[in-house]
Amino acid sequence: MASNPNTAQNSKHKVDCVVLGSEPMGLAAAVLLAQKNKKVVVLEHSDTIGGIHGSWKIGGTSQPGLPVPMHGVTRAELLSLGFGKDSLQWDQKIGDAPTEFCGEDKSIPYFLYNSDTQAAMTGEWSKEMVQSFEQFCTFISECSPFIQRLASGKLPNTRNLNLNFIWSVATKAARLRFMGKDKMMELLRSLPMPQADLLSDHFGSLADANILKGGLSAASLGGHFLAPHSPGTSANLLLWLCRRQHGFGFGSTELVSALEKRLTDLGGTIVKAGKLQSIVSSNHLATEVQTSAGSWKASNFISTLDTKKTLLKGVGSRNMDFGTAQETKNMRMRGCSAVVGLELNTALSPKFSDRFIGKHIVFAPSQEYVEKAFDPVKYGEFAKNPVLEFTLGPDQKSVSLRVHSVPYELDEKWSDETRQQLLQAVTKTLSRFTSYQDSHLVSSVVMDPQTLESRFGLSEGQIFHGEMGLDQMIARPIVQHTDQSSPLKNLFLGGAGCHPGGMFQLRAVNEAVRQIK
Amino acid sequence: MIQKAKSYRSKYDAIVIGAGHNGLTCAAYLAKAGKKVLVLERRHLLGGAAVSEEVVPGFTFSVCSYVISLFRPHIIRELELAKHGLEILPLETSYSPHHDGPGLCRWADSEKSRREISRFSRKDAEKYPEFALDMQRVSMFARNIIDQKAPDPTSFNPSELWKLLKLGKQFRDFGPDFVHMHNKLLTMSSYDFLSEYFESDALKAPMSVSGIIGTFLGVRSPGSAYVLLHHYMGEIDGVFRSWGFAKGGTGALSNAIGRAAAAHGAEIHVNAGVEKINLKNGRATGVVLENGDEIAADCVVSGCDPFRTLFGFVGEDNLEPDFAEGLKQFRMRGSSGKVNMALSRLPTFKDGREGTAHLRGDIAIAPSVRYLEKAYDQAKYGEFSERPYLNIVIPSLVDPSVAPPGKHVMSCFVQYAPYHIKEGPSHWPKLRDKFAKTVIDTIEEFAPDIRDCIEHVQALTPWDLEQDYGLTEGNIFHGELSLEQLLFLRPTAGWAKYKTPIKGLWMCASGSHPGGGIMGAPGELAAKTMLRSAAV
Ligand SMILES: Cc1cc2nc3c(=O)[nH]c(=O)nc-3n(C[C@H](O)[C@H](O)[C@H](O)COP(=O)(O)OP(=O)(O)OC[C@H]3O[C@@H](n4cnc5c(N)ncnc54)[C@H](O)[C@@H]3O)c2cc1C
Repeated sequence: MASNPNTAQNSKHKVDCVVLGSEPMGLAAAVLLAQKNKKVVVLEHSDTIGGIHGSWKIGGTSQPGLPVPMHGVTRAELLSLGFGKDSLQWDQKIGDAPTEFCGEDKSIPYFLYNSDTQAAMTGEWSKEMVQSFEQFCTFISECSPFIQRLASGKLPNTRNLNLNFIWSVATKAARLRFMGKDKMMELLRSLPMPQADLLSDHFGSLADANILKGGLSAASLGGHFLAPHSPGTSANLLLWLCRRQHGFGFGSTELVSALEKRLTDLGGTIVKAGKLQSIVSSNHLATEVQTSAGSWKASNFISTLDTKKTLLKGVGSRNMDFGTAQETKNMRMRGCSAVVGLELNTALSPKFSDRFIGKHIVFAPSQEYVEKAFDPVKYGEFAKNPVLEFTLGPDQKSVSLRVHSVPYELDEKWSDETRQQLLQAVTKTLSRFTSYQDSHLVSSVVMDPQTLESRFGLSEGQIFHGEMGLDQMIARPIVQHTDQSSPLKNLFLGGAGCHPGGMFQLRAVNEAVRQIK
Repeated sequence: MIQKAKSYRSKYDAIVIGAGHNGLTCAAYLAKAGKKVLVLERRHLLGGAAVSEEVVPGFTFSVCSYVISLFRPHIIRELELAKHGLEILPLETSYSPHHDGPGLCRWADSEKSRREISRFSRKDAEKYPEFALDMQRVSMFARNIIDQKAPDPTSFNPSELWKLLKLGKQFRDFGPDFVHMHNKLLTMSSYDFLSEYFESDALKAPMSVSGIIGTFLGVRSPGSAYVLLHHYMGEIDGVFRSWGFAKGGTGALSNAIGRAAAAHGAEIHVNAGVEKINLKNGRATGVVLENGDEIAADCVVSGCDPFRTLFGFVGEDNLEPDFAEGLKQFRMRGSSGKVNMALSRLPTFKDGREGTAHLRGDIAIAPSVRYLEKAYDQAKYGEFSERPYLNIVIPSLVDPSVAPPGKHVMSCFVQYAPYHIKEGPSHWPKLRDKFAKTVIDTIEEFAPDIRDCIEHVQALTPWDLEQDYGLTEGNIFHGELSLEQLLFLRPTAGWAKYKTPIKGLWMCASGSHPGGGIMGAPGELAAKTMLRSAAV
């Protein structure tokens, strides 16, 4: 191991449990453990809490954090974290904080499940479009309970084809069958389809549907190394839609600070700038985590880092069997989004109205736009006309963007120059539909996938800890360890790399915490 | 075998529409069971997409399909096709030329392949046999699926549940590694799947194309890995993993099946296009020909694709609206074309290789994954690829009977050529010459003297495949072979067992389980299902 000048490296500590990673899921795991009276420490790679979800600073202003509305959590789960009504405004339904899908000359607020506000969305649509949309919503709400159960249940373990496995598959099949024969067929037919086909089955080529289709594709595929024409992406769309139906809407930054406060109230500690160096083990038992900020002994460990990082970097491939190491290496984690922060001197507003209605804004005028933006990534280039997802600070002067279709491995290599080019592509796109002008820009920060890797410790800059292709959804993170276990008996996996993947979800950490006595 | 006189019996047990290889297979099995069968073919010869035609005097083209691999060996035995003239000549090489250097050739001789592959990667050369073994294991299971009716997971019928359980057990018996591998194959892209084994682009590119033939997918599209299996499922005369040419062109296979059918008493008529299917009280009672003749039968079996059958011969007015809506979602969009050439001599590939041994199998123009994916990207937006993926064969090297002495035929399968071109499909005839030129230009990059060798060019765009060969939207498989269009969903949910909602009307071609390719399985399974259910 390279010697580290940091003297902290030599400082040794002892706790009951170590949690790796301070993204919301790591913090939630720590809160749950602290509630079980464990002495916990959270070790964070970077010098800010919350990873890409926390707030980070550019210039003098604090950015609102990455634009991801959190909607994979249920009320019961939030209660289990000890949140009362006042600690977080979590009783806001997603409908109150809508996503806004933008095109060049108009936008629609995306409320799917709030009939009061749906009118705002469907207002200008033709009758045919409204009808198609209603049918689409019916289809989603029919699939939703089943998908929701899949997402919140355990994955059947194909490594162990025993009675448990058969039971797990059989109950899933039965639940599916009880949706009714036609609906079951429809769902089975839909899941492996490209979402371009699924949406065209529902909306044909209705012009009114362009922004809706573009927005849905962008929001459900951004960061997955997939595009609307890729087979299997209907599953991503359905997962996205169904989770939205059940979750709560609030910003990720608020969640991070609420969790941080809750954890410190419970006596847990968070250590920043502790880059993972290794997870020491003997006889398949983890004994100690070594980081650049010191080392911690503990009896149990939960990692919410991505699986490659945890297993290959942390545990080390010589401490696991060949197959496990191989599968981990094979996990596809090609990062393909960048994060950009802008500080402006003039409030940002859309060209076609005086303000944005949404808290989470997606610019993707059509599905073809999304598909075309993705094409260059396959060849190591970034999209010249990218899909943008962003949130605005309260004064509308700070903008946090997630830019889709930006490859980890850029042919021209990432440098200040190429990052500048990316910034230009972003601002040029912004100026197509907002009041943005170059003279408004005060300062900016551009984090390409490689920067995301070094700054936040995300392997290959993959913000979902693993692409969400069908194969990586049905055996997540790797087939040997779909049940939160790892090659080490007292190390549990609990991050976005676990089923159901992506987004904020408590299933995996709950399960990991449950397994800790 | 073909009936000369245009006279029909007053009534048949079954009428088969279309003398494609599946229609013929179905007819042969029905006739073998003693049924009075009539086959009606619109064109002047048998075979449909499995056809040989002397397009230029002395040159026999396998106009559409050009290699045989998936044809079920038990059909060859049961219909005694060898006795009826079927001879299959195995294909032994798979060659992929590069812009520079000798390219990559994979041979039947594994040691030779290993040497070739190790020029690009030693590691890949070692892995290559392991990959083949893994794939063969999965194909063994997949064969269980293509040799029986599609099990229906939505049914509560005990026999269906039993079948599913049995399949589940077989699946389980292969062991957990197999299950995992199978799941990956079903869902991954062929490129990603191959990347788990191999590192060199030169090997991955020509291998990954097996995953895209006839589909509207790129080598990096998820779901394309499964089609890779087809390469390993091939078995001729029961010998595993072999591809072959039918001696005399692909049509020779159809002709052999035709002879078998005729020997069992089936009547086969050509130039007898069907106009519509007669219905009485929602039941098929016979057909009306394009020339107005009406022929009666107890049941009608269609060897045409589901669209032609149900929207064409039956008519949407006679279908339940829900069923029609469901069927419309069945995706046909063709993505490939074909260019056949008569050559005065063999072109010279600029690869520095001696002799012609490496040209005797299939030649894949797939120099890199990037090349293939770029070709696909264009198709997504309704253009044909400027530099397409080509699968070329020169059957005259193996079977001299298809060309005059010293001369050759070259068959080029071209992808991507989307039926739904942005100008609209009916603009294809205007683009045909440009399409052919693109193909020749592409070959010229590898064999610079190709233009000097060409005596005649026949170019088939997806539009031509539809207009002349009856393949709706030019789809070579009568409907995409994508996961949501296979098994119990082919062609549409609830109607995957060769039956249709019209009583007495059955389907027996590639639009039914297990799907397209020269397989014979849909024809055979349809006939056996009909016989078992005593429909004839
Ligand atoms: C260019 C091309 C290349 C291919 N290459 C290969 C390959 O190399 N290997 C492989 O395994 N597969 C290949 N295929 C696929 C394979 O050829 C087909 O899937 C298969 O031949 C289809 O057989 P079928 O009997 O189901 O239908 P078809 O062969 O399509 O038969 C339908 C028949 O119905 C007839 N018909 C249509 N309308 C009427 C009417 N109104 N009245 C009466 N008859 C009618 C048609 O003329 C035709 O004979 C290729 C296909 C194409 C087009």
